[in-house]
This record gives sequence, C-alpha cells and structure tokens, in this order.
Amino acid sequence: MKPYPTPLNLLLRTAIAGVLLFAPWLVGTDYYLHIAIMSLVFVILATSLDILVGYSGLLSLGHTAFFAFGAYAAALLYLHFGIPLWGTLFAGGAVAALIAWVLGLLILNVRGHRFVITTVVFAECGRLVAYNWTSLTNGQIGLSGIRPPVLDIPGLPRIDFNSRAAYYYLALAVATICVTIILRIVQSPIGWRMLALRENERLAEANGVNTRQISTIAFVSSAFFAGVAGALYAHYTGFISPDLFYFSYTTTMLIMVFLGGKGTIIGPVIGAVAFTILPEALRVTADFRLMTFSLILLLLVVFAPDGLVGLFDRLRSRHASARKVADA
Amino acid sequence: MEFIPQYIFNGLVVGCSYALIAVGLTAIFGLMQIANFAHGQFYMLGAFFAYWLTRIVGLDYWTGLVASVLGVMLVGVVLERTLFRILRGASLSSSILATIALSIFLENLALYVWGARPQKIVTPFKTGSLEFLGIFTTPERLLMLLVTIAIVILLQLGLRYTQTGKAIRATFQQREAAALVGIDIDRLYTLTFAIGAGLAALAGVLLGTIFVVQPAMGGVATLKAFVVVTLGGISSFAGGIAGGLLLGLGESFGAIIAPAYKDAVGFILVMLVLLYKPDGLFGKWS
Amino acid sequence: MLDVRNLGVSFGGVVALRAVTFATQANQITSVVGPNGAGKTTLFNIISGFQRPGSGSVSFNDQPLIGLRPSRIAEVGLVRTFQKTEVFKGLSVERAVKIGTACGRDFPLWRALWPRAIGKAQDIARRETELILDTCGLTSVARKTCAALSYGEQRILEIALALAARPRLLMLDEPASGLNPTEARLLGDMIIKIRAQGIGVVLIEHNMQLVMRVSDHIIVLHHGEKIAEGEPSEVARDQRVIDAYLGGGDIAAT
Repeated sequence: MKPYPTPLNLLLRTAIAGVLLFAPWLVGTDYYLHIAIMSLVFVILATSLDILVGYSGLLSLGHTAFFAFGAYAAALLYLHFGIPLWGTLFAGGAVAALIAWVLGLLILNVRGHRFVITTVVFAECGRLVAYNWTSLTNGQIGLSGIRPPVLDIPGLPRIDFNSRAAYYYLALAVATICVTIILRIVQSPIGWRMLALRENERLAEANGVNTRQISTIAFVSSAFFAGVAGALYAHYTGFISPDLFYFSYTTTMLIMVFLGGKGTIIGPVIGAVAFTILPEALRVTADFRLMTFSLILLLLVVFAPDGLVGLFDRLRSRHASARKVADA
Repeated sequence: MEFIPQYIFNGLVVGCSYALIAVGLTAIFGLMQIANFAHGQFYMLGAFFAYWLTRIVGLDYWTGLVASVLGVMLVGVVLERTLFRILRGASLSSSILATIALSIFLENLALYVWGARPQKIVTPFKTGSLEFLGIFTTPERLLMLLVTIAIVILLQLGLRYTQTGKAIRATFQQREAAALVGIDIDRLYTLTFAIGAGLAALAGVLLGTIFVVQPAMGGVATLKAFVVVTLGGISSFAGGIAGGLLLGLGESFGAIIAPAYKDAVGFILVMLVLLYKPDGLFGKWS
Repeated sequence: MLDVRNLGVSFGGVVALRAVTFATQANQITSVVGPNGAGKTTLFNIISGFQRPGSGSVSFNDQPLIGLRPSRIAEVGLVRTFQKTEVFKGLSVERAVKIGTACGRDFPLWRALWPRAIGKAQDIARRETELILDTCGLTSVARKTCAALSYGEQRILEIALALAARPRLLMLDEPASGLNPTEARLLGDMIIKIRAQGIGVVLIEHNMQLVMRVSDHIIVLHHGEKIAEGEPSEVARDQRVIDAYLGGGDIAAT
C-alpha cells in the first residue's frame, strides 16, 4: 500500500505540474520553448533507453537508429501519403519496433561486447542506407516539409499545432503518455523480470524467466518509444537527415540516463531535462562541448553510476527515520 | 571488372591494418577483461603524432614513425596506470561506457589540437606505383604488408620463447594461478597494454601515408577492431589476424558489388558469425 | 515424478554420462553422490535444460523435458540451484525474493498498462516474500544487499529464491559446500521441512553426514555411470560404492 504523500510532496508535485502546464507563459521566448520541446523529445528517448540499459542490463548503443527510423517513417508517410502526426506517431513507433524485433531475432542470443558492437554497427549501417538510398530518403540532403497537424474538429476551436506553444502541449502530452506507459512496464512483473535479467541472467532463467522473451520485450518496446520520439521530432523540426543515425545522439542519451540515474525512469527524465538545458546554459564553445560532455560521462560512469537520483537517495537515507517502503 | 588478385591484394593490405589494431585489442581484452572501446584512438594518435613530427617538427619519416609509436605507447602506459587500473574490477557495462567516453574525449581533443581538416603524412618513398604479377600497388602498401608479416612473426617468437611471452600466455589462460606463481600482474598488464597501443599506432603511421588522417578515424578503427574480434573470437591472436584479413578481403570484394555499402560488410559478417558460430571463427580457446 | 532414462552425453571424446537411469517419487529426498568428476552436475544441467544430452530421455510427471529451455522446465515445476552461489547481486534480499516469486508466473505485457493489476501483483508478491523469508530464516537480513550477506546466508538465500519459484521438485547442487557443521545441520532441517511441504528434493552432495541423515533414496555415480541405487543403509554396504571412494571409509563412517 502506498503511503499517503506528505504535504511537501504534494506541494512539489503541484509546483511541477504548474510549471509544466503554464510553461509557454512562464518562459516567454520562442527559444526557451524550443528547449522545452527538445527536452521532451529527449525525455522519451532517455526513458526508452533506460528500459534497456538501466533495467535489463542490455547495452544497446545503436539506440539512435530507432529514433531515426521512426523519424524517417513519419516523414515518408506524411510526405507521400499525407498521413498526419496522429498516425505517424504510431507508425514511427511501429516501424522502429518491427525493425528491432527482426534485429533482436538475430542478435539477442549474445551479450557483452559482441552485442554492443553489433548494435553500434547496425546504427552505422542504418546511416549508410539513409545516405545512399537517395530515391527513398533524398540522401544527405534529407527530407523536409514535415508539418505539424491542424486539428479541425467541428464544434471545437481550430487548433493549429504549427505554433510553438501548441506543439509544446502536444509534446508534453505525448511525453507524459510515453513515460507513464514505460513506468507501468518497469513497475510490473515484466520489469521485475528485466531486473532479474540484469542482475543474474542464468539464475533468472533457472527460476522461470524466459530471458530470450524478456530481452526481446525490452528491446522492442524501447525501440517503439524511440520511434515515437522520432516522429515527434520530425514533425517539429520539419527536417530530417541521415545525421540522426550518428553515434553522438546515443552518447547524449547515455549521458542523460547516467546523469539522472539509470534504472529509475525518473532519473532519465531529470537527466534529459537537465542535459538539454545545461549545454545551452553553459554556452561553452563547440570545441570544448563534446570534450566536456564525454568527461562528464566518464566521471559519472566511474564515480557516480547512480547519478543524481542515487545521490538524492543517499542524502535522503541519511536523514531517514521513517521506514522506506520496499516497492519493486 | 578488374583483375581479381588486385582485389585480394588490396583487401589484404587493409586487412593487415585491421589485424594489427585487433591483435592489441584482443590482448587487452583477453588479458585484462576490459573491453577497450577507446582502442582505435591509439591508431588515430599514432597517425597524428607522425603527422605532427614529420610535417610540423620536421623529422624524417622513419624517426617520426619510431617516435610516434613510442609516444603513443607512453600515452597507453599513463592511461593504463590511471583509468584502466580503476576499471579492472568493474563490470563489462562500466568499462564499455567509460572507454567510450574516453574515446569521444580523445577524438575531440585531437579535433581541437589539429583541426578537422584531413591531413596526410608525407611518404618517404620516391617511387610511385609499382607492379608485380599484374597487381598494381605502392611502396607504402607493400610496407604495410611486410611490417605486418614481420610483427606476426615477432609476436609468435616472442610469445613462445621469451620469459615475458610465456608469462603473457600463462596469464591469458589462468589469471589467478599466474599471480600465485609470482608473475607480476601489474607490470605485465602495463606492458601488454603498451604493446597493444603501439601496434595500433604503428598501423596508424603506416596507413597515414596511404589514407587521410583525421580525428574521426579513431572511432571507425575501434568499430572495425571489435568487428574483427567478434569474427575471430577473443582469447586468440590468430583469430585477430585471421579476422582482420577476412574483414579486409570482405570489404574489398564488397566494394565490387556496392561501393557505398562497403562498411556494411562487417555487419553482415558479424551477423553470420553470431548466427552460426557465436564464439567466433576461432572460438574461445585457440 | 522425475523419470530419467538412459541418459548419455560426451564432450570432446570424453563420456560424461553413460546410460544413467533412475526415477524419483513424490515427497522424496533423493541424493546423487559420487566422487568428483562423476558427472553429477552434468546430470543436473541436462535435466534442468542447460545442456543437451547425446541420448536418452527425461520426463517430469510424464512431461518430456529434453529440448525445453530452462525457464520452461522451471515453469513445469523443476527448479535447480547452482554449485557456485548465484544470487541477484545488486538487489536487496527482499527485492530479490519478491522478483523470484513473480518469475514463473504469467504476466502478459498488455496487463502492465492496468495499474490495478500491478498493485495486485505487488501485494501477492509481498505476501509470498514474507512467507519465504520466514521459512528460510532470512527476515532479519531482508534489507541487506544480496552481495553483503555472509556465505552461509547466501547459500540459504539461493534456496529461498528457488522456493520462490514454487517448485514441485527442487534440485540442489552441493548446497552444503562451504558450510560449517552447524549450518549444515540447519540446512538439513530446512530440506526436511521442504519435503514436509510436499516438494520433492534431489540433492547433489559430498557431505555424507547430511546425505545419510536426510535421504530417502541415494544414487551413486562413478565415471558417469550409475553404480548403485537404493536406501542409505543398502548403498552404504554396497561393495562397488566402497571401492569407488578411495579408502572406502566415507559412507560407512556415519
């Protein structure tokens, strides 16, 4: 039974909800709204990666490929068939999930560095295909003109999602739904089995966890959400290119997961927001940017693998007098 | 369509560079149980050191080669003594992620120091293209081939007949037992790491006269090296060499069919291996 | 219950098991003993699905097991532990057992979208966890990380995790190895308690005191072959068994 939230907790939740709902008025400029929308895209990406890296212990470092596949699927469906965002969100997720399922059939029988390298090389192959299959993808020129939808339901006011504020709410809604579903998955017995997979695969198998099935579920579901994020991104920026397959995107997602705290879902959410805002706030020149970020990742992995959430937990347990409820 | 032996020869030359890099990686992985995703950066650093020493400082090629390899070996020693010592007990995920971060750091450091413009190392050879048996090549490529053969022979002899070589082989197979017998594990690791880095650097210096030198080459080299290790199986130097040559040949022939997708050959080969021989062509104990 | 027929397997030219045949009854504690290298763990690996045999068959309550993956065999009711202690290292004892209770139970992905289903599953898991922790005497260390337990506690935890999967037959691979006499005695008590709960037990053990004390039925393997089978007293007197063990004093001296 969950404990009733303390007054402080309630206040905090209301404050956060308030900020989120009234953001367009609070932040003012279009630029900050852009940051907000991008952080929502990355929230979905980071939490989806956490299913794999944090919960299942599967180091899938080609994750950006599914983001890109979703974006391309959405773009192509919109440009060739006029399917609006409502359809492409699901289609983007579905395409990414399907590709992940096929790939999983081939590679989910191995672990360790072989798995890692295969996923990385896979993403690179995805980039090669997007770059060279010019008749489909326009090659390095990319695809443009992917517009956000306009909602024209009779009886309701017309909502044009081309405005940044409107798209912000759209992104907020999509991100909230995605994170909620992901949270449910990892809190359910499916998520427990992922943990078992992470902690001791052989033992999990001996205790009745079909590790092949669980790793497939983790792989496919995380790809699905990455694809959804891709569709959301495509309709927002209006332009996509093979660059989306670059490893740098995966690096960013990894930093977000580790900064916030892997295996917690809420951690990557915080990490995604923090790490989208941080580079803008620091304004380091492009030269030092990646050097600083990679150094941050290195230090996090070696010295603070539990990230901000872990830090917070450790501070909290020092002050804790009440019994912590053991929720799986 | 060109002469088949030409493709074979080209493939072998590239394969040799892959083999040199992969052998070092195999040694580090097999001996220290650390998946070093920054390994390709030694290749990159070797090339850039050579470029800097020959082009900017003005040394001749051969001195530059030796100095570069030694320089990178020094970097390797420093890294091993610091970061890699911390990573020794760490989980595979941690070592992979940490070394990836290191790799990105080194790449961007090089970018900052030397810029993104592709460079080339000035070749010491006066002659241009050579021909033998109908195959066209250049002295640089021939050198790559010869050096690799020499290294392979030296490695074989060294592992079999020197004290250190035997120690390496022993530790490769039975780490705890080796420590008990009195082998200085720390020194052995540092030495192996340095040699691995040196081999990669050597490949970088040699290849830098043939292909361009740029910061991004390190990441690519790491990918290729791991593909080779996956193909050839870890814990086997023969696997690393055979895997490297196989990849080189595969890419060379793959380029005939679809030049743009040359790099995808590695992926296809890895898929095949994972499906039919997950432990690699040479397996784990070879 | 467990029916093993003519099981054989070899690796690289060495015959690990040859024509091994035996059966266990429900509510029985069967011990598999034999000198090192006799093939006992290989036998376990094959029965539990971690290895394929070269020949022979295994069935559990008339259900053939060969070819099934280990998790499926665990679902059928056969759960094994490992010679080298295996636990869920980074998790707390409580959480580990809780996960263990949910392992073999069906929970399709779509149900995860329904928060009430998750809450219900958590409640069931919590109750079962308390029960198992109590049965195994681990309640006092429930909060500790698995890796932080003492060796003896970890071995008990291993069995607790196996019990969490609700086995009908529990296969323990050298559960007493590394335990001192007091711990071994407590282990024996636990095994007897498990049998009383209606769960069959198959045991690989070298600790002969434990074996003679708890077993209803003993099987002796030597060089991959079954050389004796029967009640403890019979087996102890069997000449072939005495010859198989160096000195012959091991089994008799209990």
